[in-house]
Amino acid sequence: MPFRALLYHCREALRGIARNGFMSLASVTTVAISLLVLTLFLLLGANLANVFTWVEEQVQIRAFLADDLTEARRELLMREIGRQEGVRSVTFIHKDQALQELADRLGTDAEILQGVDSINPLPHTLAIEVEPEHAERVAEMVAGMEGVDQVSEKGEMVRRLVAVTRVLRWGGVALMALLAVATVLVISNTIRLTVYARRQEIAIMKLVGATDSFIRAPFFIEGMLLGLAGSLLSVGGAWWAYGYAMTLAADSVPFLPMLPRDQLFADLLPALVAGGALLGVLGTNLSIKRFLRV
Amino acid sequence: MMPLLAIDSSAGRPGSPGGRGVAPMIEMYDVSVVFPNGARGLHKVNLRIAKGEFVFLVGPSGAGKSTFIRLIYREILPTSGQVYVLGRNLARLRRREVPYLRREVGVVFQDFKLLNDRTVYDNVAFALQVTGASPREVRKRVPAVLEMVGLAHKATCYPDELAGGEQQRVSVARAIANNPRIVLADEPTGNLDPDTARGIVELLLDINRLGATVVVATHALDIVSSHRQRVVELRDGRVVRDVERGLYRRAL
Ligand SMILES: Nc1ncnc2c1ncn2[C@@H]1O[C@H](COP(=O)(O)OP(=O)(O)OP(=O)(O)O)[C@@H](O)[C@H]1O
Ligand SMILES: [Mg+2]
Repeated sequence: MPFRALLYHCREALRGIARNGFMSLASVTTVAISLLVLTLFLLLGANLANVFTWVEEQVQIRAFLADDLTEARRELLMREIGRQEGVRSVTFIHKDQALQELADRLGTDAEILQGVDSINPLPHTLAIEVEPEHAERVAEMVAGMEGVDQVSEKGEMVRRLVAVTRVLRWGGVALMALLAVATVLVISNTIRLTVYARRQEIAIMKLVGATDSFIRAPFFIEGMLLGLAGSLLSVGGAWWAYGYAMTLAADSVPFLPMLPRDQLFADLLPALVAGGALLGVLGTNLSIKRFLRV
Repeated sequence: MMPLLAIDSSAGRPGSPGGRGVAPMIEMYDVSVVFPNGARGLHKVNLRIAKGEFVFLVGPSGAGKSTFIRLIYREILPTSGQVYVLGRNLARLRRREVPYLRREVGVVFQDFKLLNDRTVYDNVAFALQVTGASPREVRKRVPAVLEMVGLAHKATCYPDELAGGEQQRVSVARAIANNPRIVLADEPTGNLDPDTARGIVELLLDINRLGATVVVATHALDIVSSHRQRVVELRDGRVVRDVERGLYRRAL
């Protein structure tokens, strides 16, 4: 397309946006809201995935050992467990060390342990680091072993988290699809109004021999601009919301790792802007197909 | 300086059905038009219009004059039969080729169809801009055609600041802006008083003298008979008379 034609189309597109200002505003807002929700879902998803890997690293099976287990038998046990598929490491935690860890974890509340240290009710423990998909099997196996009193497994939490993420993901996808459809419809309606306002010009263009693509071009640019404006607004909103969420999280769940904002948005921005433009083009396409039979 | 209307110098096809030894610009073979509601627009029309001809199309209301005109700039297609314009079968013309045909065919209507939010100059320039003309071409061409229709001094006026006849001149200027080989006018004088109407027809005759083939559908029989051009009379969608350079008298 020659530059002057592009210039002409852009001018016509801007004229179209100005001509039905209210509908243009409505479509930009709809695009912004839709993409904002979409963005928030993406942000949530990215962070959940992040938390998920973090939790995954924590997957440990703890085997509490019988008090009378000899050191030699314990070595044997550890070697046996270490041979299992998916087991990364097996560490022995002496009951005194376990008590110390507990005291550390309790922090200022540690005074309730006073007097206990001489008796120490805690058992010797084996900490088994294991890949999540093998956690359940290994836990079962370890529980059945001689000299193991009890087994606690944290894999359960991971599995639940996976299930929750899946529900969130599909819910998010469904919601996003709905919002995308709504956005396309609103943009298409806006473009339809412009087409209607310009019907006389369009009729004359056809009469004097303007090509179909020439007649359509300004409408596509208009739709794209609406989509772009909406997506930029949504990115701004999401930026602010994420910052807010980060401060909230820092207060209430400081141990949860959150992805840094700059990096995250640098990754998301191109996709969101392109997505907004795409929705605009789709909306235009819809109304052009239906209302601009050229 | 570029000629206002390029005179097409391509040789006529010898022995072609132009019948006048000149290349036919418009040919219709057994053309019928039936509208979706069953109304008959044209019925088995056979007609050839050669390059450089000026044709008056007459007949009572509902005779099919507008239908005839609309066929030529491919606004509609015939239900049966063939329409050739500039040697091209319009039924075979692909959709994306239609705009290029229309650049060769200028059309003028009774209601002018001007854009009221643009000046006279911009209305004419519009036809050039939307067909991809460069600003240089536009700057050269628009004053030339405005000069031709006698409206150079009204270039900055808006259509509603002009008299009806002047508005029609703008619409003629727009129709010839792209230097078409065929100019069609569907009752161009319908809204004008007799004197103004004569002026418009004179203008169309000038355009014809510069080389364009011109077809004018009209009810203004006095104008028709005073010009001794070819007259085609339609009635109920049929050609009932085709008078060569004839004095036209109402056949009643
Ligand atoms: N779009 C249409 N749908 C249905 N019937 C139509 C349509 N256009 C024209 N007709 C019919 O076709 C016939 C010819 O119409 P046309 O407009 O060609 O006549 P005309 O000679 O131009 O008349 P007028 O002098 O009043 O302009 C008429 O019977 C008319 O009712
Ligand atoms: Mg008519």
